[in-house]
Amino acid sequence: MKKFIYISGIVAANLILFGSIFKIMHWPGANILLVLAIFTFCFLFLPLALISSYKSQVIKKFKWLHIVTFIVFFITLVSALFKIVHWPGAGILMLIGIPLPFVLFLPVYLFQIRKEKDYAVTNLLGVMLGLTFVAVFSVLLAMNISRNILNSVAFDFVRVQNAADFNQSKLAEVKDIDGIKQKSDDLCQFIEAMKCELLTLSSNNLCENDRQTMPVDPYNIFNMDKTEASDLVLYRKNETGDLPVLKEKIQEFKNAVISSMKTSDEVKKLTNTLLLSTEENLAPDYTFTWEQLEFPTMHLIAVIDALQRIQSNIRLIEAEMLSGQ
Amino acid sequence: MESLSAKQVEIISADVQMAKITFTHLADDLIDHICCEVETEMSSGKSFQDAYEKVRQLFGIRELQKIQENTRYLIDKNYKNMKKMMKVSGTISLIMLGLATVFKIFHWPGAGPGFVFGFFILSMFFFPSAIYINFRDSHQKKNGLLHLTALIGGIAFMVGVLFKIMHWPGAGVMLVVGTGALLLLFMPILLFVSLKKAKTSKDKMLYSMGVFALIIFEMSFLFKMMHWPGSSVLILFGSILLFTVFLPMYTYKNFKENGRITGQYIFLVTTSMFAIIFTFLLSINVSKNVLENFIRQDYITMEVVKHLEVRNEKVYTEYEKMSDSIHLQCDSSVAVLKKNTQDLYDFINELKIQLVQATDKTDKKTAEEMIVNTSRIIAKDNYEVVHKIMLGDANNGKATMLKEKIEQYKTSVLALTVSNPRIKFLIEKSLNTEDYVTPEFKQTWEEYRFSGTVLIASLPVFSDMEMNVKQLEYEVLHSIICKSNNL
Repeated sequence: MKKFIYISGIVAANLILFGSIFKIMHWPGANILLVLAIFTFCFLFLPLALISSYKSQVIKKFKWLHIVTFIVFFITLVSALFKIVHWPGAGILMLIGIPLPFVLFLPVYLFQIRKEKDYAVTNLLGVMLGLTFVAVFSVLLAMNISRNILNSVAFDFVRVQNAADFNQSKLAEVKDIDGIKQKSDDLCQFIEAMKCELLTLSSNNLCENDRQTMPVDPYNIFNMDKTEASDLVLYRKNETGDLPVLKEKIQEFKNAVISSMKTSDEVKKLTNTLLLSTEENLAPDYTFTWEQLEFPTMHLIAVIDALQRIQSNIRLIEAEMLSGQ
Repeated sequence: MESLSAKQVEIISADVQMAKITFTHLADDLIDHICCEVETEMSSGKSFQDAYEKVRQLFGIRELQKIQENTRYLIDKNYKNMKKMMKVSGTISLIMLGLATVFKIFHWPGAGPGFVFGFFILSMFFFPSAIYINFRDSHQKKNGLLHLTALIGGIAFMVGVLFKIMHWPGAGVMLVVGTGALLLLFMPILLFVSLKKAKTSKDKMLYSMGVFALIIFEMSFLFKMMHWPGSSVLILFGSILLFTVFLPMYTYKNFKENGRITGQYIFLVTTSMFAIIFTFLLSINVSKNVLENFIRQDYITMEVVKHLEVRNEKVYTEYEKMSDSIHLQCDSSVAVLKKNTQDLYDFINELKIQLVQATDKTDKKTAEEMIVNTSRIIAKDNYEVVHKIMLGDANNGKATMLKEKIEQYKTSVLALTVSNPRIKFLIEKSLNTEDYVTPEFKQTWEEYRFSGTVLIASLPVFSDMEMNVKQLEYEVLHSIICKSNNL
């Protein structure tokens, strides 16, 4: 029996480990492993181990501590399971499960051991520091958000790309003014090359000769949560990265549009809001730079989305300016 | 039972005083205890001299002094107070942090102060007192460095987490210093200390492996934070070494030595479960900053919509000024276009307001302000309400209604511009209502857009539709007017 309990403990820890690894790797079966792990822990290991530990005492004490330990960690781990596999009801379980170790377990634990003269201080320290670890990491987790959000960014990217295509389709019919077409083509080609470099660096083979030739499937972008490629291309390549160069080129284009005699006031206003603006900056105590606003994170898909957005805006301004004539 | 004479007792008490036992209570207790021991020995037939000699060998002056030292620790006010402070501050701060986390997740007000106070008490009172107690308890002054690194690393880490939550500057540096001190200074020193204590070479190997695996495992956290490459390799290697290799070996050793389930083993397994869940969840989650992307996207799209509105209005006014013959031909078409476009636009905008209102539980006016300035929305990451409203329980939510409206709009507008293939293409492309289908995967139009989408990410979906509707309005209006002009 004792052997079984020891083994079930190891099995539970390893099941949850491999469940998590499968989850990270997007391999099938991750959820089954996680459910099995939590099941083994909550229904086999935890009750059996606690009963065995209680019964093996010469004088039976800490009855309530054993019961409370079971309830608290049962609920906490089940709520974690619900959250990880996105089952309904996770919210209410988290509401109970997160504070329970601190609100219920800790006071009961301290109360039960208060009169034990020979209770080892190391155990007390272990429990308190263990709970501190749980608290600090729950806090860190509360700051984050599921990686699924990146899929939404990918959908956004596809939408922005469609909008860019729409604007470009209008350009075939209009005549050039003040060399704007050439300027916007140059700028868009530069952005396209940045985008392609990012995609290729993260093993998405969608480009040929710095031009995207294959459509993006939002569900099938490799490494879209990786940040290394974006960091390299935007900030580190050739010492300064491409971002300062891009900013300069956008500024040139913006100046060309605004200084042109044939640009209407509406288009001028539009250009000022869409390109290099930091206007929606509404935080009272902190000013965001354009870079921070446009590229809030370095995840591959977010950076590509932002680049595509700039490209689409340039095409829109070009179309609006030229078709206004 | 023999009993000692007063003279014999005096000899003993003189010896105890010789051992510099200055604590009177303790001295009395000790004398009493030694007398009892001597009496027991004497009852087996020994003389007082022999019996006392034997007991003295057992206790010895050193042993007596150690007892005094231990007793001092026990009744030392400082130590006692520290222990009390540790318990009280630990409980208060942990409860505060636990509740603040829940408040933060559910976007209730008050999470910020909870975090600040919780972390303040945790790092300024609880943690130092816990380290102090462990230090006093270990009886080894040599371990000062071990405790010092734990103190500095731990406090820097906790303060770093607080700064990160509150978006104060300097969080990254502190987290790196804290994690670095804990993993690269504290852990190796801990290993060094425990290696000295280990009895067998097997134990030594086990300890080294455990500490080494733990360093690698948690190092992945540091790498992830600093965006250094290789964090996933570390997490895989470290976790397998720690939980698949070290944990069973340690358990086996524990089983051999103890033979019973100890509280320590339960503690070990439970902590392992938490460590795995937290470390892996942290590595698959992304920072909330990514939500800023949608705020920016929505702002830009809505600025474009504003511009398009002005532009389309201008075309309508120009149309008013045109000749009567054109009006005669186009008035009905233009009126249909204008009305249908406005209807669809209003419907989409109304959906936005409803979503924000339901998620943030505000009144309509606040919701209207929030969709203009989306950074003001509180429950940005809520996907449950979006799912409930847009998809309903069985695909009977508002998304299906929206799809029908779009299809109706498309039909009505296509009827106005049958002859223009370019506009037909644009309509089909920008107001797409097809399902998402690939050979191995299928999603309805509704699911593709709104399943699992958080509130702040759903708003650009609507804004994009609004923009497309306005773009199409312009194209269609132009084609109607041009067509009649050519006639």
